[in-house]
Amino acid sequence: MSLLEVTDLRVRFRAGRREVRAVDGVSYRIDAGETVALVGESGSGKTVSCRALIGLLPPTAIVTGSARFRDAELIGLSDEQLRPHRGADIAMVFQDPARSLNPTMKIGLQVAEAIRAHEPFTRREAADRAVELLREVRIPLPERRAAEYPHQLSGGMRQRVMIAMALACRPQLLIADEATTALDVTTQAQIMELLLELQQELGMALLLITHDLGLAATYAGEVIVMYAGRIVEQATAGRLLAGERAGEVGGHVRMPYTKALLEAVPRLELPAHAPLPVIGGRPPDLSERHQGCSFAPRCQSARDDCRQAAPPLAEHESGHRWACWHPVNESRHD
Amino acid sequence: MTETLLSVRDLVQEFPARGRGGTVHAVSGVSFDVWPGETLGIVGETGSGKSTLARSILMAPRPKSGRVLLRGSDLTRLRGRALAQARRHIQMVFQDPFGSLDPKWRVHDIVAEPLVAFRAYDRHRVDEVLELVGLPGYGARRPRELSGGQAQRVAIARALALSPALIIGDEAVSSLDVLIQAQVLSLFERLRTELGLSYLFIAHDLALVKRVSDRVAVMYLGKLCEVGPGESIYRAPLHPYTKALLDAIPSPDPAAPRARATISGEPPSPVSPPSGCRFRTRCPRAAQRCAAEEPLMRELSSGHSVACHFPLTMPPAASAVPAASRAVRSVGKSGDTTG
Amino acid sequence: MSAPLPEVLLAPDTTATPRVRTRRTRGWAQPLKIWLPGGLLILIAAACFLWPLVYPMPKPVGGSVLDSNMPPFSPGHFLGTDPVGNDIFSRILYGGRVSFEVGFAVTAIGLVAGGLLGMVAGYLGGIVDAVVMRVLDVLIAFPSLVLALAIAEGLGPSELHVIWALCIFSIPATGRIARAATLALRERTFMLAARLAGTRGWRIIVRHVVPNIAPQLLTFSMLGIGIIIILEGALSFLGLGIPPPQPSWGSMIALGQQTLSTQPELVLIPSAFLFVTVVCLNLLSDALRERWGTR
Repeated sequence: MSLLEVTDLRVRFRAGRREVRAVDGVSYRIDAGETVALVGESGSGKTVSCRALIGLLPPTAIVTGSARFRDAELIGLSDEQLRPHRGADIAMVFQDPARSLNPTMKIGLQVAEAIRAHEPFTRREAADRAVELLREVRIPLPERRAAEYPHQLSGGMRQRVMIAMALACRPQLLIADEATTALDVTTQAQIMELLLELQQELGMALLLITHDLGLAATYAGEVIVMYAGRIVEQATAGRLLAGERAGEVGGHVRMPYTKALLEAVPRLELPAHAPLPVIGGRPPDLSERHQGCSFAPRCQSARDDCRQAAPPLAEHESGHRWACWHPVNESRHD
Repeated sequence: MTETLLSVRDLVQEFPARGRGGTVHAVSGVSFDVWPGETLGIVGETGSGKSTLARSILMAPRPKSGRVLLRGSDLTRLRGRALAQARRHIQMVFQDPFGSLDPKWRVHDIVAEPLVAFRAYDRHRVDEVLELVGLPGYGARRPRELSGGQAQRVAIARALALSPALIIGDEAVSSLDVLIQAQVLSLFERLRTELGLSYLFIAHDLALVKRVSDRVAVMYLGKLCEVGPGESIYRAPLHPYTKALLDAIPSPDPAAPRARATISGEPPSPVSPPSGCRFRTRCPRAAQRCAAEEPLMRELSSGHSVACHFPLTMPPAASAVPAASRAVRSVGKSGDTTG
Repeated sequence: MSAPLPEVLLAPDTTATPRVRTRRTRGWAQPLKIWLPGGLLILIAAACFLWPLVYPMPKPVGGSVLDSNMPPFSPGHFLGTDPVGNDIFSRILYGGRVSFEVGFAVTAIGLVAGGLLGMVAGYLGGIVDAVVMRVLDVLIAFPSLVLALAIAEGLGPSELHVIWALCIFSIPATGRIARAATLALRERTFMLAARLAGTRGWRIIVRHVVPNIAPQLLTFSMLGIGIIIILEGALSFLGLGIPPPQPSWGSMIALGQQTLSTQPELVLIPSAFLFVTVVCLNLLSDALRERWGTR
C-alpha cells in the first residue's frame, strides 16, 4: 500500500463572483521512502496542492478530491482531526525560515514546542530532546544554539532548525516547499545532503516542491511536472531527463512545456551567448475557464485539436505519463 | 589598444553595523575592468557584497575609497550635476521588477523620466524604446497592470532611454519564473547585439552568469577571488571557492556528476572578516600562510587571474609562490594587463 | 487537550495562494461604506451653507423675546426657539458653517504646512530633519488644549484666532506622519532609480513622494477634522471661540447647559449634529483608508 495516494485533488478559491482554480484535478502516488519532486513555476498549483493535504489553506479554499495517507482520508477533515496527522505523519518545511520562526522565542523553546504538540513530554524532557534534534540536523554546538534567537542564525542554520522542528515526531512524509530556494547554492547542497541522510536514517519519504529542474534531477527519483493546476508530465528523473548523447538532456521529454522548462534553464555546459529557445506569453489566468490545453496559447506544437479539448494525463509508456495531443520527441522513440 | 569602458580600482565600501557597533566591510578593495561591448558577470553568494558593489559604482552611496573611471572620468571626484551628467552613461536594472517602478506613475512617464531629467524628452524616443523591449503601446498602463516580466521590461526600457553604454543588472532576472527569465535574458542578448551594449551582470547563480557573460568574476566576502573567461572558470577553476560553487550546482543532466557540498559552514560575518584570505575558514586547502598573508590577484593564464596562495593548478599546502607571475591588481582582456 | 501547534506548521504563506486581481468588483459593501457617511456629510455641509441662501429663514441672532422658548415643530420654527427667541434650526445651520470652516481650514493648513515640513525633513534627513523634528516635538509636548486655550485667550475670541490656535495641533501631527511616510518611501527602489535617472531632489518630492504619501496623509487628516471640530466646540463652550451671539455648535451646547432640565433639546440638538458629523468623518476616513491603503 502506498504511503500517500492523491486522487483528483481540486482546490478552488472564491473571490467575489470569480473563482480561481488553483489545482485542477491532480492525482499521484508516493510510496514509503521515495523521493518525489513536484516541479512547476509560480501559479502551477504545486504549493497549494500540498498545503491542501495538511489543511494549511485559508478558509476561502474549497478542496475536493481525495488524499489518503495510508488508510486515512485527509481531505475534508477539520483542524482538530488533522492535528494528529500534522507532524507525526506529514510535516512541511517552508521556503522562508525567517517568516516561519517566531523572532521573539529562543530556538530551543520553539523546537520543544513542536515536540510537545504531539508527545506528552515535560518541559525538561522536551528541551533535552530539542537539543538532540538540533544535533541530528548537524547544527554545531546545539546546546548553545538552543539558547539563541532566530536572528542570530544564518539562513542555512534557520532552515536546519525548521527541519528539526518538522522531524520532531518522525513524520513518514516530509514536504519541502521550495525549502532551499532562498539559500545560497553551497548551503543548498548542504541542506539537500542533510535531507537525504535523514531520509535514509528515518526511512522517510520526501516530496520536494521546486521550480528548479536541476534540483529535481539531482535529488529526486520521480519527477512530476505541473502547469496551470494540472500534472502535465511524470516519469522517473533518469528517464525523463536523460539524453541521447553526452551533455544532451531531456531526450525523452514529451510535453512541450517540460521541454521549454528544460531548455530555459541556464546550464554550465553550454557556451555563453548560446541562443535561448524562448517561449513567449505568460501562464494562464486561473480564474477563467479555458477550452483546450492550458499550454496551447504558448505552445509551438499547438494545433487545432489542442485548443478544442484538454488532453488527459495518461501513461502512454510504462512509467511515463503525459498530457499532450502532439508530444515532442515522438518520432525518436517507438 | 582600446580604452576600457569602466575601470574600478580598489573600491572600498563600509557601513556602520546595526546594533552592536563595528563596521560592515561590504566591499574591501575590488578592481576590475569592463571593455566596450563585453558582458562581465559577477557572481557571489550572501554577504559577498555584490549588490553593494553595484550601487557604489554608481555613487549611491559614494564608496569610502577607490576610483571608478567611466570612459576616463573618475566618478568619485564628481558631484551634483557633473556627476549626473557623467553617470547617465551607466544605468541599472534592479532585482524587484515592481519595486523599481513608482506605482503611481504610468509606464510612459516611468520610461520618460531620465529623458525629462536631462531635458531630452521626446515622445517618440519613449515609444521607440518600449517597442525595443517588446511592449509597444503599453505607455498608458500602470505597474499594477503588468506581470513581473513586463514590469522588468519597463525597467529595461527606462534604462535604455538615454542610450547608455553600460547597463548594470543587479539580480535583474532572479525573481522571475524560469520561462519568463529566459524571455528577459533573450531580450538582454538581443539588445547587446543590436545596440552594442556592455553589461555588468550581477547574480548569485553561476550557471546564469556564465551563460550571459564573456568574462566572469567570483566574489566572496567583499573581495574578488577569481576573474577570467567564462569557459576557463568552468573548465579549469583556479580558486577553491569557485570549485565549491561549481560542485554545488545541481545539473538537470542525470548523467552529470552529482551536486555536492564540498565546503561546510556558512560565510563569516562581514563585520569581522577573517584575517589574510577571507575564504580560509572554509577552504579545504588552507594553510598557515593563508591566515597571515592576504593573497593578491595574479594572472595565471591568459586573461584568467586568481587571488589564492594555493590555486588549483598546484598541489595543496607545501607550495611556494609560483614563479614567473607578477603581482598585478587588475586584469583586462587576454594578455592586456595594467598596473 | 493538546498544546497549540507551533507557528511553523500553521502559518500559511500568503504568496502561495494565488493573488486574485482586485478590481472594482469588490462586493457591494465597499462603495456603500464610502458613500453613506460621505453622502451624509455632504448633505449636512450643503444644508449649512446652501439652505439659508435658497430658502428664507429666520435669522440666527436678534430674535424677539416674544418668540422665545417655542418647542420643536412649532409653525415657522422647525426646531423651536431658544430663550432669547432665536430660531434653533437656523442657529444649527449657521453654527455648522463655523464647524466646517474651522475644521477644513485647520486641516488644510496642517496638510500643507505640516506635510511640507515633514516631507522635507524626511527626504533630506540630517540637520534639517533634526531641527524640524525638535520644533515639532516641542509643539507636541505641550498640553495642546492648554496651549490652544492660551492662544485663544491671548488673541481674543474670533473665528480666525480659533483657526490659528488649532493649527498647533494639526501642523505637528501631520508633519510627523508625513515624515514617517517619507522615510519609509525613501528606501524603496524606485526612489533610487529616480535619482539615478537624474531627477533632482525637489522634483522627486513633488512627483514621487507626494503622490505616494497623499492617501495616507489624507485619511489621517480626515480623522483630524473630527477632532478639530470637537476642539472648536470645546473652545466655544469655554467662551474662547466664536463670540456670542454668533452661533457655534459648541457655544450652543454651553448656553443650553443653563436650561438643561427644562429644555434639554437646546443641548441635545447641537450635540447630535456634532456627533453625527464627527462619526461620519471617522467612518469615511476608515473606508478611504481601506480603499487606498492595502493594495
